[in-house]
Parts: sequence; C-alpha cells; structure tokens
Amino acid sequence: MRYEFTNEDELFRNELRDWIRNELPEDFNHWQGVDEAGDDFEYSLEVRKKLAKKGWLTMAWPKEYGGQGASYMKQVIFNEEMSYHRMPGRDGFGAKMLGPTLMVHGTEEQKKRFLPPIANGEVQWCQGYSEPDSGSDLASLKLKVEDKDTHWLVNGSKVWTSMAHKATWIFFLGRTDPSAPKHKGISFFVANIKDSNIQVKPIINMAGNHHFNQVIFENVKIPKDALIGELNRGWYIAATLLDFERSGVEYPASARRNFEEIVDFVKNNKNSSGIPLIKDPYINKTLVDLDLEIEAARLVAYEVAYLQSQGEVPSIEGSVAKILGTKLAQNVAKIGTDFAGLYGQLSDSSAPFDGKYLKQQLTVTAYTIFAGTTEIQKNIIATRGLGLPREDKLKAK
Amino acid sequence: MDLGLSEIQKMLQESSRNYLEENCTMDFVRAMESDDIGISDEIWKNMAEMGWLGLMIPEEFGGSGFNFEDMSILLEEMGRVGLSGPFFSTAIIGVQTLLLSGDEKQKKEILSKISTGEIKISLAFNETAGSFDESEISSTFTTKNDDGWTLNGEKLFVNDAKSADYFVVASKSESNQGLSLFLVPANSEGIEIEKMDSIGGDKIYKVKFSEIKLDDAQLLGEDGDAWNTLSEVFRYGAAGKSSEMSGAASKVMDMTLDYIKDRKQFDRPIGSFQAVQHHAADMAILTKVSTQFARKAAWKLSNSDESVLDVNRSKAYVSKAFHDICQISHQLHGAIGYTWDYDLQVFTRKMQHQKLSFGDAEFHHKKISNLLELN
Repeated sequence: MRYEFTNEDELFRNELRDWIRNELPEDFNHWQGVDEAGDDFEYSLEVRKKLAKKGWLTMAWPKEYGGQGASYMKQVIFNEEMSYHRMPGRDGFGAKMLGPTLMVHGTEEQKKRFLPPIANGEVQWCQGYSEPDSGSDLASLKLKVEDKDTHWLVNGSKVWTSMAHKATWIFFLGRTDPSAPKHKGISFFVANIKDSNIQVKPIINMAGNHHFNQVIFENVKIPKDALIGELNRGWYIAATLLDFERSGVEYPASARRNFEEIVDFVKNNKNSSGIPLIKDPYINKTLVDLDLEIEAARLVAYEVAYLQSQGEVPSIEGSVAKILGTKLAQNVAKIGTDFAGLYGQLSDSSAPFDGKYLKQQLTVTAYTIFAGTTEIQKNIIATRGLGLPREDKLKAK
Repeated sequence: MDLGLSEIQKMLQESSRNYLEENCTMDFVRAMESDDIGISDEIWKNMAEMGWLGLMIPEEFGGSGFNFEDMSILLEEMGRVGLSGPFFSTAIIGVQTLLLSGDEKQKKEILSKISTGEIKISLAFNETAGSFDESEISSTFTTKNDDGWTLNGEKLFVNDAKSADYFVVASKSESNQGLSLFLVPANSEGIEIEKMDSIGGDKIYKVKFSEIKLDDAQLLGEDGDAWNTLSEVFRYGAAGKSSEMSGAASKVMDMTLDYIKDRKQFDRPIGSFQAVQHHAADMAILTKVSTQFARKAAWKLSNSDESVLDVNRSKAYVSKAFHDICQISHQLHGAIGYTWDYDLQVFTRKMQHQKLSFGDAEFHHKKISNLLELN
C-alpha cells in the first residue's frame, strides 16, 4: 500500500500548477473558469495548443504516437489540477476517446491522418452516439449506414451531441446490418461534420446554454475509409472507448475547489444576528458531510487509476466513481446555493458568486444522466460486478 | 500510489481468512457472546503462535515487527467473521499504549508476554460521559504520597475487563490535573468488576478502583502527560474499528448476494429485480468506499506524521456506512434476516459496538470540522 504520490509525480504536479497559475488571465483566487462549449471556445483552443506544445495534451498516448506514455497516476494529477484550477483546454473527445480508439482499431492511414491534428490540439471532435429513440438502450440505435460500393450512405439523426456546433469532425455509431442482433449490426465511423448534408441544430439546455445539438444526416456520402475497425464490430469498439471515459477524478477535484470557495464565503459572511454563517450547526454539518463525500469520490477515482495502472479493466470501480462524482457535483451546487437564503433564487450579480452555483445546479442536473445514467451504472455494478442476473435477459427467456 | 496489498499482506489475508473461517465459525461467535472472555484458550494460543498477538510488537520485544498497516488487514478478516474477543484490547490498544508510553523495562516485561499470549491488557478510560476527549476523566484520580500513588475512581465501558491481566488506567493527576496512565494488575486489591450488557455480546464492564496502591514502576510515561499518548492510541482504535467494520461490511455484502441470488419470488431470483439490484449496488459502493477510507487511514498511521484527518474521516464515514449497509442488507433479506437464527443479525448487533467505539460519526465529524477550520 502507498496512499501518496511519488516524489516524481509531485514534482510534475508542482510544475503543472505553476504553469497553470501563470497562464490564468487573472488571479487564481478570482478565476471562475470559462464556458468552453460556448463563447470561450476559441480561448479554450488556444490553451489546448499550448498544452499540446508542453506535451501534456496527449501525454497518455504511447511514445510511438507522439505521446509520453505517461502513467495513469500522472494523468490523474493532470486531470486533478486542471479541474481544480478550472483550466480550459482538455480534449475529451479527440485526445481521450477517439485517439486511443484509432490506435487500437484504426488503419495506418487513418492513424496518420487523424492522430497528428489531435495531438497538436488543432481539431475539435464530437461524439455521435445517442439518438432520439436510443438513450440508455444505446444498442437499439437506428442511424442507417449503407454500403454503396464506392462510399457509405448515411441517413438518420444523432442527438445530445455535445460540441457538434464547434466541431469539425464527428465519430459516430451507425446501423450497418439491420438483420443482425442489435449489438452485432453496428459500425464505428468518422465524418466531417461540415458536410453540407449534415445539419447541426442547437438544443438549448435548461441552464440557457448551448452545449448540445441534434445532428441530422440526410443522404450523407462518406468515403469507404471512414469506417474504423471491423464492419459490424462498432459496439465493441465503442465499449473500449467508454472505459476511457470513466475515471472521474475531475469531479472531486472541482468539488474541492468549490468547497474551499464556499467555506471562504460562509466564514466571511454573517447572518442577520451578526454571526458568521459557518457557526450555524446545519451549515457546519453540511460542510463536513461534503468533505467526506469529496474524499470518497477521490479515493474511488484513485482506485480506478490504480487498477488501470495494474493492467486491469475497472468496470465496477468506474461506475462507482461516476455515480459518486456526479452526485457530488450536484450536492456542491446545491450547497453553494442553499446557504444564500433568498438570494439563492437569483442568478445575477446580487447573488453570492453572481449566482454561479444556481446556474451550476441547472447544468449538473445532466451529470447523473449523461455517459450512462446512475441507474445504468448501478445495473452495471449489479450485473457485471456482483454477478446478479440481468432482468431483460430473464424476460427474454 | 499503490492501493494493492504487499506480498506479506496477501499471505496474512489468506492465512487468517482460512484460519478464522475454520475456527471462528458463526456457532463459535454466537457461543462467545455469553462467554466472559470472548475467546477460547486454544484460539488465543494459536493467535500467539501465528504471530498475531505480537504483530505490531518490534522484534526486540519478542514480536514479529510488523506495523498497523499489516494489522489492519488482519482486522478486516476478524471483522468478516464477527470475532470480538480481547484481541483488539490487547494486541492493538494495549500494545500501542505501551509502545508510546512505556519505558524499556515495562516494554520488555509486558510486550514479550503479550506476544506469547500470557498477558491480556484492558484500557480503562471512559467514565460517565462516554466520550473520547480529555475532559472525559472526571472522577478517577491518582494522588501522590510517600510510598507512591493511590488510585480511586470508577470506569465505564471498559473493554475486556474480565479477561485482563493488567488494566491501563487513565486518571487525573491530583498534583497537576493532567492525565496519567498506570499499569494496574487486575488482581490488585480494591478492584470491582461489573458487567455492562452490550447488545452485541461485546465484553464491556464497569470497573471500580478503590484505594489502589501504586508505585513509580507502574506509571506509564510522565505523570500528567498522558493525553498525547491516549489521543494517539484512540486513533489506532478508531482506524482499527474502521478496518474491522469494512471487513464485516464485505461479509454482510457476500451474505446478501448469496441470498438474493438464491431466493426466488415470482418464479425468479429476487436478485434479478432492478429495485433489488440497485440496493445491492448501493451496498457495494458503501463497502468499497469504506475499505478505501479504512486502508488509507491505516496506511497513514503507519507511514505518515499527518494521519489525524484521515483517521477522523475514516471512522466518521465507515461508522455511518456500515450501519447503512446492515440496514440495506436486512431490507434485502426480508423476514428471514430479522430472525435470531439467521446470522445477519449478529453483525447488526455487533455493529453498534464497533461504530460507537473510539468515537462515533458525530464525534469524528467535530474533529474534521476543527481540523479543516470549519468553525
């Protein structure tokens, strides 16, 4: 056992932290982060290019693809510090998801074509998985991809596609064999989203922001080499990919920063009797509970990374981390709003933190829904982790 | 970061699981509930032979020279079988108190005999308030006189008093009002022991000390200076109980899974219902996090000078989580888990002692609040 990072890891943390604090456009204490999917996308890309230059953007990649083959723990530190500092610039879709998928399943040509722009931080990808009729039951997806000998013909619709309005490329799952069992007729493709037959329609979320979209494919022709990996193996290719998505150290790291900010506020503000808010037993207990919740999520996130470092595939741990992390994000936002009293309903400058936590509260409602709902994660824990029988399989019998 | 067990820890885990499953069966654990000592002579002897009693004792004092990190693995296994004999009081609390405050002579004399199983120790700390703060000691005093000292007072919630060969008694020093620790032979004249009826059959007693004569050789550490030792010993206690509970939680989890895979209603195993599965997933989450909290606390205690916060967090979290785990397990077991004959309830009753020992969740919440300056 060793519940601490190595000296080398800590040196990296310090180097990264210094760099981040130097890069921030204003004092660390006042830095509130930016809207990467919205108005601040360009700024975020700028930072991404700098991260690429430092070698950090794709440090997890093997050396042969220009990465550093950085350890999982180093990646944890990277994500922890970036999240804690609310630093923009990371590339979840390209560097974290598509890149590794191409390394495993792509042809030499595909690797040569798509990996360098990702590594240089020059391109924004988005992910086309969900469809209007396929959410948690993703394998029921219907987007039709037909083999027309010289090209693939794509018809159908993707939805909740984050960043599609900023992206130039999309990787997506399509139905290539409608007669096969549902998991076995899906293939994995890439397409230039700027194609004139692809329509990106904004969907405004309840926080009033434009983060996701509907992406409509109407007779879109894509070249034969847009297929990644084997035909009809797309579901399994995507499943590898989903495992990259679930370490979840970002949640406790952001929550710790928010925790500190909230503590600072309740120490420096008083109730109507002139007593600092932090002396309120209810607030005090809430904050200690929050501290425990942050630590719980962090411990499990470290466990996920540790298992990965041992060459194991964390399935139940990944789900546990996602469940705890997303619930944590919702609790922090709620707590950050609750102590403001009547001001907790305001989202303008008259509210504490300009109503930031209220807006966050609306945004993070999605966290326990996207990338596998909490219910789906619990199903995964129960069936894959604990070996309980699957309800749908029993019914099918 | 290395969250795996060392080779030695893996061996300890495997060998102790084998031994305990064979020898500390539920029948044995149930029988021990009404036993004053809570362990058989044979198992105690084996614990000495296997090096468990002296696990944390340095080799120079006859032990096997491991540390608390290793001990925590053994405690998980003891938690798994529901064993609650004098082991904890002697091999963890007793040993750690002596290591922290005993002089060479005391350590030599007592620790080697703990390793061999000849001596059992019981810490007499709590009084009427039942807290683990310095202010707990309000009615036990030691008075210095020409021949040495005189001890008077009454202790409550004294673990394993009946089997102890020595008490370590925490008292207020009349001369300086600080706390002092004395090693008091259990056969001293003037000691009265009365059983307190713990719901889990844990061995707790009321112990009265009347006009006990002590000499300098019995003083552990400096007169009036024992709080530092005690507060550190309590950290081992809190971390140890966390490990025990995380082990017990994994057993309760296993029992529950076996049951819901086997039990059929509506022509299928109830474990196939998502409503049941989600309860099981919640248990798995609580169990996993409990293990991580407990192991981190154990590691910190053995390897870092800054373990306090992690121990507080561990005991605060695990105490609450294990209660929740037992509650969910009962829900999933339905009526059968509610019966005396079914073993689940043994863990539920013992949980009450474990979660309260060395500070309950509320106690550790307050400590966390202080350390993070949330007040």
